[in-house]
Amino acid sequence: MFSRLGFLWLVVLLAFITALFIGAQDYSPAVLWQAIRAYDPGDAAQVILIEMRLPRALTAVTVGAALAVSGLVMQALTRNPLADPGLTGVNAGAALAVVGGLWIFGPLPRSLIATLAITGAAGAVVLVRMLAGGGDNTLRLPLAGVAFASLCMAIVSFIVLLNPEARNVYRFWMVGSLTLADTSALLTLAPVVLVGIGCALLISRQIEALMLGTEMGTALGVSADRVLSIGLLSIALTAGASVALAGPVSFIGLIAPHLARRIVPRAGLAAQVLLACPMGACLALLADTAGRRLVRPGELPLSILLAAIGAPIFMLLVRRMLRESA
Amino acid sequence: MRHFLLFLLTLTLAFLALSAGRNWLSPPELLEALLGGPQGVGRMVWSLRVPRVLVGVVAGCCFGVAGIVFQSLLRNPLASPDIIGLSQSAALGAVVALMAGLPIMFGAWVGGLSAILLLAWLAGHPRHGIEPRAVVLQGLGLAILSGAATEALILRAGDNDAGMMMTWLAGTLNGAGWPEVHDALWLVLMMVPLLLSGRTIDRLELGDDLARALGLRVGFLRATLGLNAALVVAGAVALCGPMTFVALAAGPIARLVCYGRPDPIAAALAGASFVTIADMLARSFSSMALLPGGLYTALIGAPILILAVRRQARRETS
Repeated sequence: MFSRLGFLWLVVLLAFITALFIGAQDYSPAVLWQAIRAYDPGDAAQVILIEMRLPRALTAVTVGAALAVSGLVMQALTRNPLADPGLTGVNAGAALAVVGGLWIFGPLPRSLIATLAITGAAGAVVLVRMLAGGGDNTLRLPLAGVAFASLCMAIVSFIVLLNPEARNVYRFWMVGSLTLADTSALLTLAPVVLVGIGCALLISRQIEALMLGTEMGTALGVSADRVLSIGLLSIALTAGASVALAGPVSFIGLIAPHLARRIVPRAGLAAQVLLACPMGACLALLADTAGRRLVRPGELPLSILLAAIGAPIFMLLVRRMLRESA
Repeated sequence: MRHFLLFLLTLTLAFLALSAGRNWLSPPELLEALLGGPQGVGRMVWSLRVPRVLVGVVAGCCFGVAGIVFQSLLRNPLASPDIIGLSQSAALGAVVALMAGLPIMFGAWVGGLSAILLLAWLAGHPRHGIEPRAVVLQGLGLAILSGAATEALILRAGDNDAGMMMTWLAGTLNGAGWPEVHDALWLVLMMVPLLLSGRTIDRLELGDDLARALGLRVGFLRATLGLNAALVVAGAVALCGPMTFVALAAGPIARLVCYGRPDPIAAALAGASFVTIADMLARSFSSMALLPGGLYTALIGAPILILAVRRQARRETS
């Protein structure tokens, strides 16, 4: 397990370094080496590498890990393998909260935007979960999520179209991408993500106990309410922070946990959380790098590329699940 | 009788839509303009508003009728073409056709047909046939995939095209003129079998065995009705973009009016009314930025979807 974890982080490191070199303009490793040894603010290549691509790649790692954990916790709590912060409308709820806040109060400081996003995410989790109902909600949870997300996105488009002058600011909150990545936002939100991941690790044992059934869990001395609220906090912190950093991004939360489970099929939830982090980070880095490489000098937003990869995986998962249950 | 009342409602809304706009016409003014021939106000009404309302009504009928046919065939009130990705795939086909310089309607049809064939293949099971639940879930994925592909294409288009396509993708009747009315006529013809299929889909809802006992060729009917509905909905997308939630909302409304029976005619009229109302709102409330009508249908329709999910959850868990 630990060797696999180490290997995964090594892959993340490789993807990270690749993400630094590749972009609208490709650079050679020599530039990076120079920048590390003696940073020269007059050299355009070094400035791009350190001031733009480095924060961007770091943001990708943070966002990827955050989304992976929030998807994993969501799947465990709802016992639905198709849960994902994008598919369940949590990202859209966060985006709506941010856009609504910006519309009502005008420009806001970073910390307030992050608070709005986290609150929106929490509200969306509660609402969608209520809408979908309990029991076997394999079908209803994504449907309720899609309905909720399209309502949120319709309201967001409304606000955007009513304020054409602010369209560029708002557009970021409709299509997730890493174009606005900067160091100060990352420094504010990375600790939030860490707390969220910590919450997930903290309750992983209890969630496993509850997965045996609520009565069984209670008999083992686990308070279902407490676990649910901490789990909710974890989802809201990770999903909200990732929306605040990169806008609504789907599918990392769906794919990364499934890949993690494939690597360690019989591992506990805590191990899955630890493995899902580098998995998500790797996905985000690769998708962002590919998006910059494919349509030079422009770029494909992260969310579009992930949808193109993630939707077929979602469909395959569904096919396998239904085959098994049939 | 119920059909007649719904028809009257649609007609009234259509006339209201003819008088609505930047300058409102009173009923006598509208009548004068309609009868007076192509001068002054009459010219504006005949060249702009009449085709726009006609296209809206036909497209709404298409969405409504296709919606109820799919909901009925898949036995799920949520399985409308805009949830299972048919509208999105038709829109993708239309955008590709637009960029390649081919007829939009052709592109939308190719998109819609390939989507339904793909879904049938994905959701098919060697022994159990096509499972409705699988169609809905696979369709959710397909909708996202097609949406992403369309977004990517739009990003590659020039700025001018991109703005236009964004509005069109939200669903709008902007730019609907007499040429579009011609296209719409074809759709009216294609809609006829679906409009007359009320008794058939009602019996199909009884379940395969019972329907077979009643003498229906279940497999053949499913396939033809599904393909026909896909063509109709793709055509409507080519006319006015994927107006989300019209197809979804029209079905439940029709069932409400017709004692729970799946009635395609009622659904078509409900869809037509829905689109007409949305377009009227779009034209009267946004003098500065012309908001696409599809936004209004989404704002009205999404809560209906949420209610439908909620009801299904109650029924299944209680």
